[in-house]
Amino acid sequence: MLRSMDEAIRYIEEKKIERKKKLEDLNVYVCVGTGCAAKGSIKVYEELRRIFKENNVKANLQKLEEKEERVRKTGCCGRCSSGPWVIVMPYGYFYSEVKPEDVKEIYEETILKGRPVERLLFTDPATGERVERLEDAKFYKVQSFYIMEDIGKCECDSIDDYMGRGGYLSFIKVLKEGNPDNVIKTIKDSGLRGRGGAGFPTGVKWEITKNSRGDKKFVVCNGDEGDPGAFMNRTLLERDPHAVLEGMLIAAYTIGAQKGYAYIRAEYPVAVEMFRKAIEDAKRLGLIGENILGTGFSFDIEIKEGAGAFVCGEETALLASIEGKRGVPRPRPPYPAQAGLWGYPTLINNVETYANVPKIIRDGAENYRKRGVPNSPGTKMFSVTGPVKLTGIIEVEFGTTLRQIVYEICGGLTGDNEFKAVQIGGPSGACLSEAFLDLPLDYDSLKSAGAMVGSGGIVVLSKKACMVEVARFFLDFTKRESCGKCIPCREGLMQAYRILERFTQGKGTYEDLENLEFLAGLIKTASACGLGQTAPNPILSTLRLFRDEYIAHIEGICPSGMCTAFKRYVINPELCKGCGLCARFCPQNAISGERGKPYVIDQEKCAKCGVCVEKCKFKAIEIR
Amino acid sequence: MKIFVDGKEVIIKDDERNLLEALKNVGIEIPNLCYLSETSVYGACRLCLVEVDGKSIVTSCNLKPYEGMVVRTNTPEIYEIRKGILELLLASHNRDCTTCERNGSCKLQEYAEAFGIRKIRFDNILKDGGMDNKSPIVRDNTKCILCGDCVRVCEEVQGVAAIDIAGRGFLSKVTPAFGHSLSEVECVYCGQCVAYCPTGALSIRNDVDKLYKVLKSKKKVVIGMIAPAVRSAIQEEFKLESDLFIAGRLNTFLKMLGFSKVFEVPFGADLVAYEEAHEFLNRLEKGEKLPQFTSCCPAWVKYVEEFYPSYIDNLSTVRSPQQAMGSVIKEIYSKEIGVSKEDIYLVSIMPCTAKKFEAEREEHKGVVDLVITTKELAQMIKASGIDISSTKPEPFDKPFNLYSQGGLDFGKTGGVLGTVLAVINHKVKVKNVKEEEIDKGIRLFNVELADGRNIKAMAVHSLGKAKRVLKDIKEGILDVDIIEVMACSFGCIGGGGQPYPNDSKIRQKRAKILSDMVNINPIASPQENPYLMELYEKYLEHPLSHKTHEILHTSYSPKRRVPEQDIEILPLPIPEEEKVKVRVCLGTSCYLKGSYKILSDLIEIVRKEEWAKNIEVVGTFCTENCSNAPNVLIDDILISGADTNKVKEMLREYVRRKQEGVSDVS
Amino acid sequence: MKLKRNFTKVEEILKKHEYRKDNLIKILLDIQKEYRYIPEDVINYIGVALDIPPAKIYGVATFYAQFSLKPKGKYTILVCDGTACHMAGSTSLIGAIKEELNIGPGEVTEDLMFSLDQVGCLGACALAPVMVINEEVYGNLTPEKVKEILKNLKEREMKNA
Repeated sequence: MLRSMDEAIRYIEEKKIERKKKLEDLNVYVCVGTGCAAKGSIKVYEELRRIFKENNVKANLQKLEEKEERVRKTGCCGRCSSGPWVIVMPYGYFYSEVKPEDVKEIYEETILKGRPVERLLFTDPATGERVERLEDAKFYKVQSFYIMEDIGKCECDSIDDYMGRGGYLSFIKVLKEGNPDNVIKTIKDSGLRGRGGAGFPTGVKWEITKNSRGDKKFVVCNGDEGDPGAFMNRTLLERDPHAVLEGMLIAAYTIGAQKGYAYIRAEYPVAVEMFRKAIEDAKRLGLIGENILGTGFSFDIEIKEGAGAFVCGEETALLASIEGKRGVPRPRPPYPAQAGLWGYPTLINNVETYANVPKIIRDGAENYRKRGVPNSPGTKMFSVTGPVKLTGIIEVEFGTTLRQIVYEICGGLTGDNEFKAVQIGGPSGACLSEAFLDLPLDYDSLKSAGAMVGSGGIVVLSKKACMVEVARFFLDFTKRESCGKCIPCREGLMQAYRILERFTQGKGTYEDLENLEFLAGLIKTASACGLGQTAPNPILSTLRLFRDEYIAHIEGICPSGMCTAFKRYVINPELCKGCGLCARFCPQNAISGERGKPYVIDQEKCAKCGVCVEKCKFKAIEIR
Repeated sequence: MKIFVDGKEVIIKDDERNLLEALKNVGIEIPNLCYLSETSVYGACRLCLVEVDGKSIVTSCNLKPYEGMVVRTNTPEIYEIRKGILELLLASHNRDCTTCERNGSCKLQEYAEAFGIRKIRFDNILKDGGMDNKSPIVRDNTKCILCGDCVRVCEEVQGVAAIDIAGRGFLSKVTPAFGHSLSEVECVYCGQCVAYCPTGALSIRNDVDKLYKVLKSKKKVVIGMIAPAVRSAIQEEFKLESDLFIAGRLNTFLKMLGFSKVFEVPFGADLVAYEEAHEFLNRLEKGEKLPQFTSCCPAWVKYVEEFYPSYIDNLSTVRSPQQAMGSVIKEIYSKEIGVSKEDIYLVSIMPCTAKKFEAEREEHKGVVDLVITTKELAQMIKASGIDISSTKPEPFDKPFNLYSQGGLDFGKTGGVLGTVLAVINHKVKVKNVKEEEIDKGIRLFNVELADGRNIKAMAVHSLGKAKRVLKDIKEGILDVDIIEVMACSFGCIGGGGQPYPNDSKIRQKRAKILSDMVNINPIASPQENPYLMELYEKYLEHPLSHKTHEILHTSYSPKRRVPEQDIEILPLPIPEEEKVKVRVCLGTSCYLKGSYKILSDLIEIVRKEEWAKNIEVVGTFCTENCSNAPNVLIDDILISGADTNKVKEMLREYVRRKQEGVSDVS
Repeated sequence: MKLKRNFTKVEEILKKHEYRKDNLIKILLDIQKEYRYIPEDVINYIGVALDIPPAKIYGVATFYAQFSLKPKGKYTILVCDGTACHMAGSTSLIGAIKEELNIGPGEVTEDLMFSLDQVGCLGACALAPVMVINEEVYGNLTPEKVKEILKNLKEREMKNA
């Protein structure tokens, strides 16, 4: 239990020295983030611990530690598809796709002899080459790791390790200065914008909340990342929960809050566990609780879990959920900063936003602004999915172009896939075509292009993707997640979805197109919250940039070939031997013919199930 | 402050809640379907959008007005948005207006007409229906627009929360828990949800056909009686101005229809106030069962039975005016006219939904044969084609056609209390009455009696306020002697059976009309009502006599709030005859008094002790014996005020006797 | 559906969350974990304990996707009823399941081990008729094969118990 600021600083300095020594000594880091865990990294972790326990491993550290303590848990580096991965220090060897059976070899070669196991070294998909260290990989070099610092070597469940990286010094600095207005000025000057999607200037939000009157004030962390395909917040919470916690502490002190809530989706159990441990450890050291470090500032925090509602990512819906109610957004004004939880001023910020705060305090606003662009300083974590060579989490400075991300960092598209568009911002986002590849990614540029940064999900789409289907897919999601309160969203999204469904089934009409456009505009303008207001974005952007695809669907063709309704199963008479096998298996009795002569598929009856293709021994059935 | 609306300067009050309300108060109605002045702002319909200062389009229901703001309420863009929203609503709405209870008084219908909607561009996808017509309040979700008004009124104004929105997105629907019928849950039938519902999703069971059937058969003597509040509102259904003689005209109409006699419910009110005042003075003397609660309002009575059963004994045992009149007519008047009471068909015309429930209650079944609401009566008049405004008013029938000011005043808040105090004044002079408004809907009266005593009286309207008062009494903060509660805000004039719109503004208007009618009545208080005094002389003897107890008093009982169910805790797979079933009540009162501990102790006992091995432990909701909580049933024997030891002992004894084959156990 | 239920567990959960109204969602999450659904009598019980009207709790329980009001089996069986499967005999599979487990579509076995649902096309038509148990796909089925698969699962459960 640290009882004063000076004592805390001394403690942290000790941890810094310890950590430096630790990195020079033999330690093995295993990623236990959800992605790697799903591929069995926990078993690798346990196997490593077992092998360490049973053997006497030499160490330079003076402090006597349990042998298996040298096998440490770390969080995501962003390359989930290459997991489970392991880094052995002090060499820095970066092993990917490690299985429990590989541990023996790692032990014998690397741990005992200091030699790399070649076959396990990470192969950079962008270059096709093996690298020894994470820092040598191209994908690493072209990114700007700032929030995701010390990849591979930070222990996700250790407060001492966090302090060893200088953690909580920013918090203590703020406490020592005792000048909340100055903190606000720093955050404002830094130009930090909310990373949850809207990009609202964080400093201004803090200022309003600080100046709002109330007997109580709250800080809330929005960890309800619901965009399908986005997992930046999960990554952060799993790998560096203390960074988020420290940000919340600084915010709480600045605005005058005594209680905090971290709202994390129930679907992220590892993140919940890591954050829970972080709170426990911080309490133990006296960084959370009554009279923190003797400053008179008291703060308590608890975790509240979401229960499966995308709309709870919206601020006021999130507050309702914390209050134990249905996650239905509330009318704004009043804004949460003025009247939030139970009517009290409440600050809500995204996980990533909080993680930026300690760094800004540490580096100062001016230095922080050296990254990124003037209207959007700093970096952003993005998740990239789609047919590109490298998928996963990346961190880049604002201002990086789409081209850089898709081709330089992610190595371009795989196989014979050609670039068609990028969907950015999840179901609230928009599509950007090839013409926008050189668009710098920042809040304002994207806004003027009719898109938004959103939470940072990027889906790369190849020419095989049907843009109408993309719109339908996102509408399916948003209509299901609509809270149902306001008419434009509840009724409008359902009707818009039905129109899009008709399009993909080949039943769309010009009248439908007109109605779709009208609906999209209505829902965007009249909806009560961000979910409804942004749900039409996929429709609007695809209509703007790929209108020809919609027209094609009306005229009877799906240009990308993705919509099965447009597929026609046709028997090639030149290849058909007339065996009748397909006709026997056709569940619709759509195939007819005479033995020995080419059979014919009745297009009206064909359900496009594909059984005939599977059964035909002569590959005589074509899909056109 | 001064603002600019659609190019014109408008002066509004400085402290208005929001722009919508502010403009409403100066006669500018911005279209909306989900806004209620009486509840919190919901912001769901999005119809009330306005353009502010030429830039943003925002909802006016949560926009705070500021000096000099420039507002456009009806730009072409906004018009298109509103029309689109209405189209969307209509697309998933049951558009069978011609057969809907709200045909002609539906807000959605009104807007559809105003916006000239002739074609719906979108698919007609009906909401999941599930008609709930097991109670006097009828729910039809195919007509629900999910404005949430009913939910907010039930929760915020009435403090009951029997319904809420379940599900999410397009599949959302308003429903009681688990889709039960209103008749199966804690709904008290106050009908306030019906009062505020803008469409036909919530309506009152229409019983007019039943009446016509009886009239047609000509087999019964049809007698009617009209409540005070009806006459303050029925003219709204015909778009007429208030009419002091409307009651007389209604009487004439009913006679035209075939009613033999039509009486005044205010007479019954006088009767009730007279009885109740004596009951109160009696309780005051004995110092028991205080504070006394009035019991004329059936929704309030049900509320007490459901939520505060420990206060059941505080309710006045005097029946409501409807039931008291009914009783007098069936038991006394029938003899006077020489008709057997089975041949009388008594029809009560009320502003109230709960009255339909009251007439059908176990305690009152068969006294009043039919309850018709103000709206239903208006329908009957419209169907006849008769112009009610020019129908000659005729006096009601003797002997129940005279009433005091107080009797008529029963229709609005303070009326019952006022009349009771008037009777008290007659018996024990009242020196001074000081009125204090504690809160909207809660008035405190300090009554100084000539003999030095001080009575503290309260008039409360809306159940939400009643809840607060009960809480204060329970916690000892409030010390009151007699409380009048009306479940509907502003009293019966705001009942669920009154015409739509039925908001606070209209209710205040109706209150004024009723006041005018009250003030011209020459009879000041019940004891000046000669026919009432005659009734006592001839039949009832005196207040609180044996006769009045038979005819005018009643009793109440706790009501369970959830559908009947036993919850298996430790089921025993042995034949029923060999088991001893122990049911532990887990309802609120019993739970709060520790029934859970008894349950867990019993489970331990059954697990460990040999003699208890044939005992099956079951949880149950509500033995309806809440004032003697906790309750445990051993087979059919009820143990009240139970604790583990008591139950264990009795159980042991019971099991022993059962084994020995002894049949009588007590 | 008769289920053994011990309110001790419910009380434990309520106590763990300090009987706080704002912890309703956490409480329901624990109830869901414990019973694999949210039973009506538990909702009524919580309503009494926390002084929240049942209609409101029902509103919360039906809003969030994590909660289910119908019990889910440990093994959720989905029998495809798309065209191909239907033609190939999905109905006989339903019959086999009924014989082996005594449940029909939309039902759960008494011990909450298996639940059965009929679903639209799973997209595996070439393997018709198809059944999916907890995301594991079984194709080219016959009633006998179905019974065997279920028997194996039951055995596995007995061994683990």
